[in-house]
Amino acid sequence: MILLVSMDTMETFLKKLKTDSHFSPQVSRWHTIPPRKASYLLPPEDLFPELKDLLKARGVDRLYSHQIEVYKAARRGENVVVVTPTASGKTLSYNLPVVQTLLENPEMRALYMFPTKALSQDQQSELNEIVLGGSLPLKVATYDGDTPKSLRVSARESGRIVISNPDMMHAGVLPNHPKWIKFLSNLKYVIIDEVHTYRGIFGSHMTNLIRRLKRVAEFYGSSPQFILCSATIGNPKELAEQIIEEEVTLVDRNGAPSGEKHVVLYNPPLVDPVQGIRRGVVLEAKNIALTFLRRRIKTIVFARSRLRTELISSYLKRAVKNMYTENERLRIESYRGGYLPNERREIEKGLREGSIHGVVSTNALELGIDIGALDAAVLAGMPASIASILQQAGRAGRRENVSIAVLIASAAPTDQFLVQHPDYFFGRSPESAWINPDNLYVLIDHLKCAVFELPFKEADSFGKTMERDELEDVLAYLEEAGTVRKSAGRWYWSGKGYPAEEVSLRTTSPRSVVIINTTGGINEVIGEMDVPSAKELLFPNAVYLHRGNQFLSLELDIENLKCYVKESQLNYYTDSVVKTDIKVLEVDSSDIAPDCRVITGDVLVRSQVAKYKKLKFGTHENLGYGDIHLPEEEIHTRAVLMSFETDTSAGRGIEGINPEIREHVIAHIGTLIKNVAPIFLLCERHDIGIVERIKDPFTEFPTIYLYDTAPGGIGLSEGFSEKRIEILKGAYDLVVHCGCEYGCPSCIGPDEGKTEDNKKKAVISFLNTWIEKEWIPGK
Amino acid sequence: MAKLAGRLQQLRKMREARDEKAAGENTEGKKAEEKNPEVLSRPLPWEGWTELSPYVWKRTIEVAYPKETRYIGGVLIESADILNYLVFYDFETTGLSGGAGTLVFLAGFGRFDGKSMSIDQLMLADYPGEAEFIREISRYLSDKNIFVSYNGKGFDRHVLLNRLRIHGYRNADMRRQLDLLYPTRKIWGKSLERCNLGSIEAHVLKVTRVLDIPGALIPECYQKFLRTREEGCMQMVVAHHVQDIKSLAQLLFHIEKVASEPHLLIDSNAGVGLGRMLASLGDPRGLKILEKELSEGNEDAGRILVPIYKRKKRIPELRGVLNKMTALRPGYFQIVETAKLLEHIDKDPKAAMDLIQPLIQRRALVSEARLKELHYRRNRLQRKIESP
Repeated sequence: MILLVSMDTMETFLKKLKTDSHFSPQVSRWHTIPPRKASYLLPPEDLFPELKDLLKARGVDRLYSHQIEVYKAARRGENVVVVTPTASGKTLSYNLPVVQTLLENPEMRALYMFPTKALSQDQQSELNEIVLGGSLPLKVATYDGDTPKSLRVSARESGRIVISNPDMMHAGVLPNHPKWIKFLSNLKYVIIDEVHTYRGIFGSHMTNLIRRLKRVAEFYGSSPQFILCSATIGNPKELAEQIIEEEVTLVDRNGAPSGEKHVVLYNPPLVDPVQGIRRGVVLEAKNIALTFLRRRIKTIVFARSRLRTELISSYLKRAVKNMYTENERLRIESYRGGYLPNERREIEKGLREGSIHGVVSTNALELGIDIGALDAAVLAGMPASIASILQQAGRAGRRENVSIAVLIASAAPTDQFLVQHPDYFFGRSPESAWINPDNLYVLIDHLKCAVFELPFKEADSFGKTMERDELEDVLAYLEEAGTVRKSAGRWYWSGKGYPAEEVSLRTTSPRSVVIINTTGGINEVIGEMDVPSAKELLFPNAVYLHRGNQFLSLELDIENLKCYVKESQLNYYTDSVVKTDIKVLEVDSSDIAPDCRVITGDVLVRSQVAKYKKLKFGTHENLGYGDIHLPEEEIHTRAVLMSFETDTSAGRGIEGINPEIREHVIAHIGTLIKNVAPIFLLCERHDIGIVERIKDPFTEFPTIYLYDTAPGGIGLSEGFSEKRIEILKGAYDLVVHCGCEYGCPSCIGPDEGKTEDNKKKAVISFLNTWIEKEWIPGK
Repeated sequence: MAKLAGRLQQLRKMREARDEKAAGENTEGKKAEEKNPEVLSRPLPWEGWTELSPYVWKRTIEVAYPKETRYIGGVLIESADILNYLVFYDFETTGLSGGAGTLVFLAGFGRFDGKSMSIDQLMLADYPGEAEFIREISRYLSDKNIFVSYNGKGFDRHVLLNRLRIHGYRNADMRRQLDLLYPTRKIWGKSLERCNLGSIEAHVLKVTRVLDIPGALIPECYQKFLRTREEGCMQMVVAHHVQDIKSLAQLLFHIEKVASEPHLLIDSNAGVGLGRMLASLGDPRGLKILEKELSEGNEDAGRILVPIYKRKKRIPELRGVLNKMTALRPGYFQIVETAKLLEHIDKDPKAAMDLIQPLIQRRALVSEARLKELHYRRNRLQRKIESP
């Protein structure tokens, strides 16, 4: 049995694939990234001899240039953010200055924060290799939810490097800081890895968590220095500075070598050119992955949702199912959030050791969890960010061998945009990460935690963006609610319980529903899900897929946070439809631009999951609708309004459209914006909401609202105001280049109203009038 | 953050709407109180209390505790000399979950002197006095003392340690702890549904509290006192706190006493609990109590005695216990243990087999795992019978 592909077979295979008559016509770009040579420098002079020896023992006698840059900046006392692609030795770039400094100063401590527990486990083994391998006198300890009680005391007392995650810092460490007195009073370095994942709500929480950490550290007399690592995004330095609220030195010249990489942009064939329907990514991904796997090319398939992960892996398993050949001796697994930790560890191990040949995963495997080297990555649909695309594609070819990544575009508009504008993708990253640390909900939650940790004095501040009187306003608000108490010039915690317990850093709602399988009368917990998602995925009669098994939701008990399901064998899956209503509460700014009036402010959004569709497996054809009866969600959030006043270019644009279809056209524009904006705002499609009105009761003009779907906003409305023109141009590009005739889900949405006019043409002409003006730079 | 004030206003509106909806009928009282956050002047100490420093109050009360009621049975306390080092303590705190934001606001330390027990109560009348309050408490923390509590080892001590560390006392501690929760649970854990101090008072010590405040309401009551300065429920808290400390001493001497007078225990399960605890401490009274409970029909006593006698190789006693247990009920445990005795000590595999066989035949009554064990045992006995 051949498990590994030799260089030769890979190259021959790629040649064949390039000329394959089914494959090659669908390739919109075959981009070969030549192998890159390493840029080396000698290890720093001042490095401890033991540390030098240790590097030598691991075969490292030179360091990559970016590692040296980080080392020098960190040793100068600067905060650093290092931008590193996958497999460029980023771990060593921060381990080196940390270990060196800790060896020089036996009192000093360092904190490593990783976004997930899985990553911290990997990190501990890596560090242990450095530290224990050379028997350096540094104790490395992991402190997270899985750390047994017996090890916690020693981690706190004698851990020189403590590896943890933001959630544990938030709910375990900071609220109990007196127990960490030794650690916190000597805290010298804080390492924040995968900093690009701290965007949106998670990033907004992260800034506040860092504010709390610094506040407590200061109380104990320390002021730590930060080293951050980020994947490639448009604004790593800005994001890092927003998160730690201090100046940060950027290191972004990568000195690591890499093997030849083939990045293939693949657009599935058009099935219906009129409606712009293409062959689905699920089946395309399955076929391409199967071709690779059958050649013994170790392959990872990334799917865009848990549902698709399960679909693709079950199709793949079915394809190789053959009892006489032991399933062609191919073991294929699926991997995603919602599996139990030991299930995940087992799959990771199988991949590292080679007993698993193919894995279908959500973005759960995108981050640096060690699964060894893979030869091919197949992206079944593009993840919402270019940073993620690069990370997922980078899963193939970690070492210096030839690798291939096939990026399959789905009908999703962002995918169609990228597959038709490959330069966007191979050029400088257009996307930036946005956060909103002053989201009032997030801020209030963290202020409660902060008061619990230490009382506020009148001279105290909280972060860099809030004025003193604003801070006092919020504290006064908390005092009215009885959560804090002001006495003799200080605010003290006076609420019940332990505030951090009620705050989740990951979602806007801390509550999650436990999914219970009731099949055969046994109640077994198979996973959990946050409440808003549960309303969309676990409503009664929803079909829920878990590890390739199908379940039918019997009851969703939101109050008690339970969902009862039973195993089922239906030939369809379900997809919910959400209805939305919006009201302006407060206007922050209202500016008239040449093209339209732009208003930013706070809005109240009411939404309800009212219906669901039944879609047939395999063909995905619509089998009918069902009703959902669940309470509505109400959120207070941030929005930006574009009002098409009469004397603006957008106003003139709408005037030029047949009044009968105006309403449709504006709805289509809304869809188009929602489709394009995520590329620029580095968010998921569901992070923004769009409401369009032909005559808005608030502005009295045709208006498009774009709002943050997270309560209080996560900075996307603000980001949109800033990048508005760029996004509108992108929208124009997408619709003009889309292959459909009348509009399709990939651009402006399908044409559903039956009228004579071609609405796609109307949209193009409207956009043309709207943005084709001299004042738009670059147009 | 230009619009923060406006957003807060919106939040307030939403909160008020929610409160009104939730409260419905009884809004008036609470609202009147909440809407008056006028600055309150420093409260004056109540009668009997002195103010040591701003917001730090103290009083000392004497509780009659004659020498003859201080029973020493050698269980937890070996001799009367130790009594001088015992400090009975209890803290009331602003929260029940611990963490850096939970404060001690009422601390009590009781010691014996001559005829009575004297209890010092320290009260924090508002947060700004905390530094001095903690300093006062730190005076009680000598390493010579043994600190007696009910669940203090797991909770009260940690809350205080947090406060001490925050105020810069890096080494102060209550190192020597005698937490009565653990022996209490061992003795009465099986007899009582709940093992909190209230339940022990009601069922074991026969103390009745009049007009008591439930512990869970204490943090709320303190917050109300801070807001309104009304003595009302805080006086109940202070009385509750004194009773807690009195009960601690009473419970300690009760445990000391029942070791010698087990007939005072509330039921047979408590007897087994006490017997087991004493036996594990190596106290010969333990085995005696267990033997007595077994003779009176408590099979659980036998389950504890069997491994002890086995370990000590006291075969006649072991045989006696097994006989008594089998007489009570021919259960799986006693049959298997008797079979082991027959096989390993008496070297009579045949007799052991005769005991095991019927058990296997009644397989419906035996769990899967036990059945597997039984088969294993039977096969080994079979081999021994065939080739002795």
